Amino acid sequence: MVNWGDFVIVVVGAGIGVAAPLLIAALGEAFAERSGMMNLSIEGTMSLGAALAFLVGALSYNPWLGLLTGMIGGLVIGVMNVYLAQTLRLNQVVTGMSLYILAYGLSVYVFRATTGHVSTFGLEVPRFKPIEVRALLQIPILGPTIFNQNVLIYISIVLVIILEIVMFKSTFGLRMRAVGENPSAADNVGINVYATRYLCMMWGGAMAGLAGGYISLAELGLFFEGMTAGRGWIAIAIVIFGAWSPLRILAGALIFGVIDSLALHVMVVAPQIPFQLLLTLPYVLSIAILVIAMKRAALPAALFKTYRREERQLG
Amino acid sequence: MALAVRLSQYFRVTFSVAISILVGFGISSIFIVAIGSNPLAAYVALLDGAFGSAQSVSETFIKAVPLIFTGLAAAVAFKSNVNNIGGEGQMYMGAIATAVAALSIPVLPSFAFIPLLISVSFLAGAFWAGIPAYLKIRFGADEILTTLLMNWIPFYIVSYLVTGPLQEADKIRPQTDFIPDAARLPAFVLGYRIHWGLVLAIIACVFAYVFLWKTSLGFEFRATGANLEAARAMGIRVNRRMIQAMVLSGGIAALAGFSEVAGTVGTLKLGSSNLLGYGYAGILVALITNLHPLGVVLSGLFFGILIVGSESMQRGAGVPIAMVYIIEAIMVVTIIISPILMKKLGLTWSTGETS
Amino acid sequence: MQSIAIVVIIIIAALAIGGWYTMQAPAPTAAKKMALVMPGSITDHGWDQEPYEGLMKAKADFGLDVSYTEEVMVTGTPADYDRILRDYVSKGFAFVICHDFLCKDSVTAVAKENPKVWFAYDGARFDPAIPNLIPYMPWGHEPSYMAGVFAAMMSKTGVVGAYDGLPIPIEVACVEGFKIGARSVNPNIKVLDNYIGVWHDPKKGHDLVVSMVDAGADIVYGVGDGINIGGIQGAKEKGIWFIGGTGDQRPVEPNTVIVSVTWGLNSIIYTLAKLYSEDRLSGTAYEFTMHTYIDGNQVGPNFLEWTDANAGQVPQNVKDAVAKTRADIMSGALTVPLITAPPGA
Repeated sequence: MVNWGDFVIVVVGAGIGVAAPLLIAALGEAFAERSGMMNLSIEGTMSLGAALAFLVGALSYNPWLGLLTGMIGGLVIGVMNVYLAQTLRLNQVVTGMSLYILAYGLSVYVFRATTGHVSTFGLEVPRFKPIEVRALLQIPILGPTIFNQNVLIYISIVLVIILEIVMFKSTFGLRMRAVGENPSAADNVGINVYATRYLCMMWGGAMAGLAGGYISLAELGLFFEGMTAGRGWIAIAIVIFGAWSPLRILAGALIFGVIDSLALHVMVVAPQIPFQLLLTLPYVLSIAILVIAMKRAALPAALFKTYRREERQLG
Repeated sequence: MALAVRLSQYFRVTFSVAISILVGFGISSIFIVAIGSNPLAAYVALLDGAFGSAQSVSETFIKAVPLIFTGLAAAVAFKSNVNNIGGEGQMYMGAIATAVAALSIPVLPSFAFIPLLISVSFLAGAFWAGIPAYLKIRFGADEILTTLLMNWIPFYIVSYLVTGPLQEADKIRPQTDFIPDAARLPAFVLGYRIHWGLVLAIIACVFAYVFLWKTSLGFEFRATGANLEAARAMGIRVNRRMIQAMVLSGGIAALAGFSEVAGTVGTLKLGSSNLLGYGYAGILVALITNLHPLGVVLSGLFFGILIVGSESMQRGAGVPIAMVYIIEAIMVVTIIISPILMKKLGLTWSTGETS
Repeated sequence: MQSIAIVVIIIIAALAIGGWYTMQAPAPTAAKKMALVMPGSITDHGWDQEPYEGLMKAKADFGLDVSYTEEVMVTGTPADYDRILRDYVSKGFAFVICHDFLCKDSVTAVAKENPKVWFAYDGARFDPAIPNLIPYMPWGHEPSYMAGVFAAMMSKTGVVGAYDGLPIPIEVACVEGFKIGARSVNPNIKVLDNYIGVWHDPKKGHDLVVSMVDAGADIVYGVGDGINIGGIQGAKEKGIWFIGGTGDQRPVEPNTVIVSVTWGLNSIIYTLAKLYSEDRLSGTAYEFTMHTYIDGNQVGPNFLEWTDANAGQVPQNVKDAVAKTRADIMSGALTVPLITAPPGA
């Protein structure tokens, strides 16, 4: 007989792990999109972040240094994206997708150039291990699920709260949302549209790099080409699912992560269920939940549109 | 006089594209030299891979066919204010429908079988796009999200079919049996793999152009895309048009799947973990040509050249695979940058315009 | 500014055209040219890396002129194999190996049109055979049986796990062989048996192994590359043993991957290269098993036992059982069934 309590703890605990990189990348992308910039390079940036974080983390034997490098790599891609899309006024979807390919190629390039392509054998990297918060472990069900995760997850949860405040209660957040809704009006009021977008894309890129670093340093302790496995695209979906709000994005990431984890656990104990069915579950259920539970959310009105200062309407 | 103006416009565009390509090569050279390969050998290998022989040209066109279809699908959708990111899934649905129908229906003569398969696959893609369209209108579900999430599902459907009920008789490979010869798109030039799917794709683009620009319904699609509120004010039923555009787009994307199964490959094989599947690449194809159905043909061809050529660099010049991806990305960016490049290089025309 | 730009462009164009002409006549070399086409990345610790390493060793040992194309399934689709194979033929390669099941149609077509060029691809024999096409197929059921015996004896919970990507014959043979081997030791053993639908997603492999441990498994056998790399990490985290698959995965985590089943892909490609270099290729269809010997060397799948460092972790009765199983398989006293479809399918 299954101990349901244990089952829930295990599934949800693992689900949090699945959700973490999605959450981190989505938190970055939410800010980018709120300011009107669609960053489609996340998947590649995550791969680059993973590669850089692993290599630097292993060579310097310091995971934080690795994470930082991954974030810097991601930030650079973000800057390139906003430069091409805003300053040079190219189409955001094209720049995003091109940078996705570029960043992925760079991740493979950097990895093979450093390790001589062979493998990650012999490269030990200190990982982010789970940290127990003894006192809080006692809480039934929730305790062992949440308070037995690695430090990056704890940081992410705190980050969600901070970002929710920043986005909705701070001046910067207000400016950012104004830029995303109506850049010309924002410009009229004196908000620096370009600077805001640059900052938001740098943040988005850095977070995508961080998500990649999480994957290689916290999840697995290795780098493997293609290890991001489409999660950057799922992060983009979660941003929309979460209506560009950090708290709702947390919910979205958790839903996706827990369903993914549930599917895998069910697969082990019920092999008679066609495994392909279980693997599509996260996608199908996410659509269903979206339709049933989520409010209709409005895209930031200026998403995808490059802001051209000289074309602003007067008055 | 008007002809001269048009010709000079085409010349300008071609020239600026050529310059962009050269600049792209120049930037990529830095990376290539850094890893110890010869840049010139690399570019020659790229061109050789794309055009070096009749075989290469045929392969370039083959690569272009699904890109033209998915590019057209994206163009039609985006032009009507519908963000259809689901081309990949819709294409797979078209492929699945083609394989299932071709292998289950008793064999018919080609002139009946092929149009039947085209219809079946179109319907499959239209249906797959119809679901997000319905969800958007009924529940306000954002179509970027729904079409994106739905892309993963057909991959698993294919996986199930090719390792299960539809697996080939030998049961060794994750692919179906070959579809009957009567169901295959005939070769366009005997002895080469390029098939009539290319003609089908071009016809589809011409139809789309005529539809969008020469019919009132098409006008409504474009008006919905240009300014939603103004179109609504004009009395256009924008919701209905958007659903229709979405469904049409899905059907067109499905034809990419049909063409790959019935034309290029002959079976349905397990999907791959592509860097950029045809469905997503189609979005790029459409955007580069500003969503113009006829431009999609050239754009699809350009991407065919780029992908086939850059992949060949591995063999022609020993360029490592990572470099292939980097060069592809740089080339796409320099192409879209071409007007700006022209300005920076001082290559504008006396009229003060750039291409 | 304008004129400088034009001059630069003309120079680049001239160089390119000049380069084009020099490229048209490939320099004839005396060395034999051999190519390898792979669907995935040469760093994948398995399906693609092993043949690549075999190729490189062959290049060093036999002085062959080699070329490889990797990530065909990442840059494109199986439809691209046709183009790639013809490209190699046109560049004068006399032996081209296409290492993907999905390549069959392409390699068959190109082989028929180029009877003077040798081709090899991984798959089972055809009827009628094509004289210049060498199918090769590694069947890992016997080493997997040994792995099953090992796992059942090492397991303290009576639950063992096995997983791989998709139920295609090469993998089913391994998983089923493992199950039969495990049951031969303990008829009541519980074998968790799953397919996860992908081969290259380490996280999925990791999560699956963790799920298996949660369901009671204390030793897991993985048949895959990327999914194994992640699976190994999962096993390491949960403190259980992992049995590698596809290739020798013991060096990945020497303290976790105690034994490994290998398909011997590097020795297979190396041997084919050797035969080619000595002009001894023939249109044989190879089915590599533990019994396959070429030139006195065993080529193909094998069970790689515990390293000296781990020898202390393996009880003597287990060592004896494994040794006996190996002896029985090799002598023919034990025939391991080759099952290519999941039971009940």
